[in-house]
Amino acid sequence: MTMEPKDLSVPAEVSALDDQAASIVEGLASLPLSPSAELLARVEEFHQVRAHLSAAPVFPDALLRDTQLAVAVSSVGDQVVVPLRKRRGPSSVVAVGIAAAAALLLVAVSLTSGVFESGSDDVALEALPSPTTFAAVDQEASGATESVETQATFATEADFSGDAPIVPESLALKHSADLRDGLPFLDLQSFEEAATERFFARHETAALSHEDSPCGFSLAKQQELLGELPDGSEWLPVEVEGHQQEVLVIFGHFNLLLVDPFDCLNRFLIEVIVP
Amino acid sequence: MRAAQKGDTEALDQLLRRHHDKVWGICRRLAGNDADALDATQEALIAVATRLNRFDGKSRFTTWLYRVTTNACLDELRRRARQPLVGLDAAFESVDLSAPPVDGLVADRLLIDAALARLPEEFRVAVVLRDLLDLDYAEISEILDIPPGTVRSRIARGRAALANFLRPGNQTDLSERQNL
Repeated sequence: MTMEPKDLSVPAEVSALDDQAASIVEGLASLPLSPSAELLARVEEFHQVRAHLSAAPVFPDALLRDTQLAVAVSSVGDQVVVPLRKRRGPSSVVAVGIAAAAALLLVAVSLTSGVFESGSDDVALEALPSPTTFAAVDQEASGATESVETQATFATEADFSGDAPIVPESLALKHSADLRDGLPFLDLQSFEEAATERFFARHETAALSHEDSPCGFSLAKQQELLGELPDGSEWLPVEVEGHQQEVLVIFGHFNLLLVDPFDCLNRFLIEVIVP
Repeated sequence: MRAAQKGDTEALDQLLRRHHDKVWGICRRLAGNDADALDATQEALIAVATRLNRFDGKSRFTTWLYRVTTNACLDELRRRARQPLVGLDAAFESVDLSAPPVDGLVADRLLIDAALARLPEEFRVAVVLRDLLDLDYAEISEILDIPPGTVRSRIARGRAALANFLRPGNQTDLSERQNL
């Protein structure tokens, strides 16, 4: 777990020496004819800091840039580049590159065919479904067969194989919120701590209750979403706006996946869990 | 830019593409590591795209852009700071103070990155906007909505803190962290 980083000590006031050094570094003043060694050293330190900070950081990957831009552009319309996964741990550069390349290709195809504006269907760019499409979410999870099937199909179409591109959580939540029409949005991230506790308790007790097909996902689908072979699953009781509810937790050896049973697209992946 | 405001997605793509490096630069410096900066950059780009129609032209576009970017990055970083596996630790861990100084320049840069990540937010933002984007006090003042005098003070104090940190022997608490 992360410890709170200790803040640097910031001087309460700017000393005369620092003020003079800052003015020199900023070009507002010149070095005196006989500068003290202390001033020279301070100017050098300030120069060093400024020289580093003024160097523009290089973006790591051009394909990733295109993916980021495509996601941002899609966020203003009624269609989105579907994000289904939040990256939490170090990702494979190759996997991200492949996913980004796939996303770029799809975006390029959709741009040339005017999909952004036409509203036609596309694999990577999905029009947000109308609330009626998922009217069945009001049913009990066990009885919402049609809804689950529809959502599972949607998810399969929207997923990129392997690692999905890095996409911000906010967009994923916005997307899922639309699907969960009529129900309070379930912020799965808020159950992260409880799920992580279960993750460790599960290893201690080895008490597993494996669901045959949670949320309509096949074993292969679970593996794809989890990023590893599923090890088991549990229903985690949670309280949402004063009501008791359950969310599905799918465990792996290193990762876990939280799933809203009323909206199987609302998922939250926690990767590389360490004590 | 007007075309982008009116919903022309190609124009929006070009606009964001033109400024992507600056957005990334701000978020990278504020985050202190690539992983957090990537997510923060994505959030910032979305914020710019979705709020573009609110830009009324009363300020320079870049001023507005930097304000939205800064706020979006900081929001994302604050949110991530509440989660495990936060990137700031990775920044600290990337600086192996016990290792021989193979490349002094690289080591210094890693140290500055680590120090910047530990600089309190209000100072970090001011220093980054000044040194990375070379903005003057007035524009930083407009972006951060604070008086120019406060901007100058925060930059000077922030830079002094960073310079102090670089002095030999002043990274002991960092070493202690690594030995935990």
